[in-house]
Parts: sequence; C-alpha cells; structure tokens
Amino acid sequence: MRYSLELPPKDPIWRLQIYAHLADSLSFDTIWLSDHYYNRNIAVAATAMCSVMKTKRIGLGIMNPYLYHPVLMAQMAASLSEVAPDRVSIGIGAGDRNALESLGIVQESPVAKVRGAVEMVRELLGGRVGGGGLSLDFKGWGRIPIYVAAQGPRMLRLAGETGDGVLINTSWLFNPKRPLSIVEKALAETGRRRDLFSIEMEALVSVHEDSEKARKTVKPYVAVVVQGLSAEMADELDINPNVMREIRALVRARMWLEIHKVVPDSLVELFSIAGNAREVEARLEEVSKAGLDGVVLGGPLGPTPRRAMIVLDGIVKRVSE
Amino acid sequence: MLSPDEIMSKLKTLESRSIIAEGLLDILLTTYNHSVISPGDGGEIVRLFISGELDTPDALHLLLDLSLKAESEKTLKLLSEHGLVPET
Repeated sequence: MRYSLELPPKDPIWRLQIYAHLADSLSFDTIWLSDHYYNRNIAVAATAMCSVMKTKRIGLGIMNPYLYHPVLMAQMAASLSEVAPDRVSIGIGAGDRNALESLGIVQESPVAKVRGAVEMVRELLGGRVGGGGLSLDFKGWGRIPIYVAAQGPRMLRLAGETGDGVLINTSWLFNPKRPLSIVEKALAETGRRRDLFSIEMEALVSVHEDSEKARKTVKPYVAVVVQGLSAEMADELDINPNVMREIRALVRARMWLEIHKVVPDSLVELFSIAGNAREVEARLEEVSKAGLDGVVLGGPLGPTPRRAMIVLDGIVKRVSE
Repeated sequence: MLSPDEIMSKLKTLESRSIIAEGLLDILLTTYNHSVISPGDGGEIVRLFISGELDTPDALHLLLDLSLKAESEKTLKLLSEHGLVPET
C-alpha cells in the first residue's frame, strides 16, 4: 500500500520547496502537484521541488487535454525526468467542467478526449510518432507511468482499459469499493494484469489536534469537489440542489472565506478525512482496507501543512503496520 | 515593547529557539500576507531549512523580521508564550 501527497501549487514556490524537502524525509511515495490555471504553473513548481527532493516521485497533474495538447504533456513529463530520472508520473483527466467553462472551453466528449490524450502521450514518451505525425526529439529518463483521473463509471472503465494506474476522485471516499470494482472489471475484460496496474484514491485530508479547526480548514476543498459532482452522484447522495448552486457560485467567484458558511459538516464527512490524529487514523485505516493499491492524501492536509505532514507520516506508518 | 534586536539578544541564549524557529516558519508558511516575503527571502528560508540552520541567530533574525511584517499579532503571541515579550 502506497501513501502519497498531493499539493496544490497555490503557495509561493519557496513554500512548495519546503514541503517537498520535508516530504523527502517522510514515508510518502509520490508528491502530486494538482493543476489549476489560477495557481502556479506545475512544470515550474515541479522543477523547483525536484531540486530539493532526492528520493520521492513527482506527479504532474492532473492535467487535462482541453488545456494541454498531449504533445505538451509528454514534453513536460519527459523534460522533468531529466531533473528527476525514473521518478516522474503523469496524471491525465477531463478537468473540471466549470473551471473549463470559465475559460470559454466546452468539455465535449471527455472520455474520448482523455483516451486520445493517454494514447498519444504514451506513444510520444515511448519515442514513437503520435497522432498527426508529432514526435519529441528527445526521450524521457526512466518509465513515466500514466494515471487516469476518474470519477464517473465510463472514465473509471477507461482508466482500466488504457492507463497504467487510476486516481479515483475523492468524491468516492464514502464507498471506495464501487469505483474499485469498475476498474477491476475493465482490467479483467481487456485482459490486462491487475498486478501491473495501480488503483489509487485521492482523499482530501485535514488533521489538527482541534477537530473543529481541521474540519473548517478542509471546507473550501470539499466545496471544489461538490461543485464538480455529476448530477447522478449529487442525486444519489441526496445533496440539496440549492446548496450545490450556492457552492458552485462561490467556487466560481473564488470566495473561499464565504464558503465556510455554506458547506455543511455532512459534506465534509462524505468527501474528506478531517479531524484530530485519532479520527484521521481510524478513517484512513478503513479506506485502506478497501483493496486499493494507494491513497493520495490531498487538500489542505491541515491548518498548518508542515506540522500536518509530520502527523500524517506517523499515521501512515501506523496504518501500514 | 522590545525591539526586534532586543528580542534577538534574548533569543540567542534561549534553549527553545528551535521551537520558536519552527513556530515562526509556520507563521510564514501559512500567512495570506505572503507578498511581504520576497522570492529572494523565500529562497533563503529554503536554503536555511535544508541546511538545518533555521535556529541560528542570522536565520532567526530573518524569520522574526518577516514574521513581524506578515503577522505581527501571531508573532507576538508566539513570543509571549516563550516569555520573550510581555503577554498582551
């Protein structure tokens, strides 16, 4: 079982370097950098972080093919592997529909678009000619696994059919076994080996000795997950449409302080692991028993991320025993 | 109210200065007022963090100076918890 971290590059690069260097001494596997157009550029941030990390893997993404042409994704990953040889992973997903809309981009045919991107990135990283006769004139160092980020059943199936791994969206935290079974079924149906594929789940985490403070800190991150839920999932979880609308508007306006007032504790409970160390450990232990290969701990990590990383390291070691 | 230099002279002899250095670092890592920390100062903090020198007098001086600019109330609270300034 692997435990990784996901850091959003909302912080200045120097802070990310502090977290990266600290993570290098802890028991996490990969440091993923999530991609948001309004945050720091992930290629720049990842390069700076790799300069202070000697052992951990770095994960680019999730990047989406609506913003990045697959040739740019491959170029970025292969270039980064010259800084961190054999320690680069790449994540490809459909992106957040609402964030794309705010850029005037319509998220059309997301499954086909992601499939095309994964296939082309794989070709290019393998030194072959991709779609449209494109190629890179250099090769990356070491194997660069391609993870597919997935929430809905069709994307989960696609991950099993074409990815080297899957990053299951944190919205499934309430029932990890369901997406897991969809991916495993797709692997079996396409004759792919389960032991060569990594099924990992993203989990929003916030830990602090004061449980209430931990839960408050995770609320803006929960809001981002909630506003990106499919209508089917929102229905299934019986989420009040008015709350959804309000959250969506506040996320779009990036009014993070207001969001604290509208995200109910019930949604924090559904979509995150937040509380004191004992509470977080109990929940993580439960998720870890679902049959996953890894959990990516993301979100704020806690009100004080540096301290939270150290506490989470202890939790991960205990849960792994 | 002591000046930063006076606080520094007290800090230099304090055994818990590594705890204070960590506290100041956390203030700088979490403040929303991060525009007071230039990329150059940020890079220097990274260098000191990596080399394990955050509790040296020069490093503490930098951390304290930036922390007072970014979050004076939180910084004074931290210092008062360690008896470096009177409780407010």
